[in-house]
Amino acid sequence: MSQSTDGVSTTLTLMASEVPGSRGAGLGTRGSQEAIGGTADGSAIDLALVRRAQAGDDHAFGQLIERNRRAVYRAAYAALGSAEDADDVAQETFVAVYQKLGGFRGDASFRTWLLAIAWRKALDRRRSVTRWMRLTIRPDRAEEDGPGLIEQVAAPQRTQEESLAAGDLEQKLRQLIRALPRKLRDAILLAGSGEYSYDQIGSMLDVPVGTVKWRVSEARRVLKQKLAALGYAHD
Amino acid sequence: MTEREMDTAIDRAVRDLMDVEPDAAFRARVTARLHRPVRRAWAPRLAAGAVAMLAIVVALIWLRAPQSATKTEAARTEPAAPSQRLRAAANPKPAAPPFMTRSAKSTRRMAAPSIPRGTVIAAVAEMPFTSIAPLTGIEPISVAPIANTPITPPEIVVAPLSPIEEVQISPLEPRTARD
Repeated sequence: MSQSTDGVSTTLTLMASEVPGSRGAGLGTRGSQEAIGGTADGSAIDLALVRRAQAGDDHAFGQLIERNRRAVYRAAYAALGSAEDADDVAQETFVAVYQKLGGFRGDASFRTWLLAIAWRKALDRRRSVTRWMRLTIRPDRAEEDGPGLIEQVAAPQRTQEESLAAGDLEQKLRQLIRALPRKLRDAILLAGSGEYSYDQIGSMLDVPVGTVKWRVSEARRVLKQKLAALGYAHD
Repeated sequence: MTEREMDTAIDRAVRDLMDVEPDAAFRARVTARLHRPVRRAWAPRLAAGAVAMLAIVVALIWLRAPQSATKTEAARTEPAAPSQRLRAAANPKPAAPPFMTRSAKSTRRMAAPSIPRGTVIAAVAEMPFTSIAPLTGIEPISVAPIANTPITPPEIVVAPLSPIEEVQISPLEPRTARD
């Protein structure tokens, strides 16, 4: 890997490493905020790193991986629901991006381009016969299932009784989210991850932003309806 | 649980569900993958296809080989011992029942003893000569000539129409008031 020595590049690298993961579309923000790569600063940093990577700077490409790995991984995870598959698809995405980087002209945001590739690859994996066979043979590794996913949940500070009730509700909600139609589930998971703007989600799903918002809203409505049917609506 | 609490619970569940990250070695794995030699994904498929094609060709050749060998042997006309000729004439090869499969036929063909060269032709030559009477002349068929009978259509009589009765329509009464 080569390290660029000019001042501009060094500054950009520092900026890239200092930008924290910010909140994206979110479920309650109605798309008013933009995710890290969606901001003007983020896009500029990405573009500068892309130019350096196109010139053969592998370190710059490494920076691009660091900056975007979580977004790519979460997109794959939203589509596949399996940490193993998501990791593999995220790797495949960066390899594909590295190979196609010469063709990236910067007309669109790098992050949007990257996420569109990641989503396509995740969908390919979701439809793949191999994966279907694996899940059929080993259903314990089915999407969104397994203790690994539950263990990753950060437990907030609660009393024992509250934890039990909240745990039960969360468990039920996870099951309900799993049972949602794919279009609604993809939209609510991507929006709820806080990683992407509605524009980026629209690009990934290849639908207008209005459709994304409708799907998120519809998913929420369906979830609330089912919660009410399960007896969670007391008031 | 209020509507607002439901919203909060959904937000939290989705956020927790998506609170995942790749491990620290992710970048290293991608880098290693970038420098790995390109694996040609089509090569194994091509090889498998070639093997399948080869297997089909071999199977076809194997299935066709005994049949053509029998035909070739039967076509040759070499003299054979009289005892062999008689045995072959007395035990002609029975035709395979229609319900037998191709594989069963081929197995049977392979298992059956081969007929000595020239036996069939020699046996046919020894069969008694049967005379067939010559064909007799065919008598001509006589067909009656077609009669040309003219068609006379019956006369069509149209009865005159009866006169139409005069229709009496009483005049409308003027409106007395608007609706």
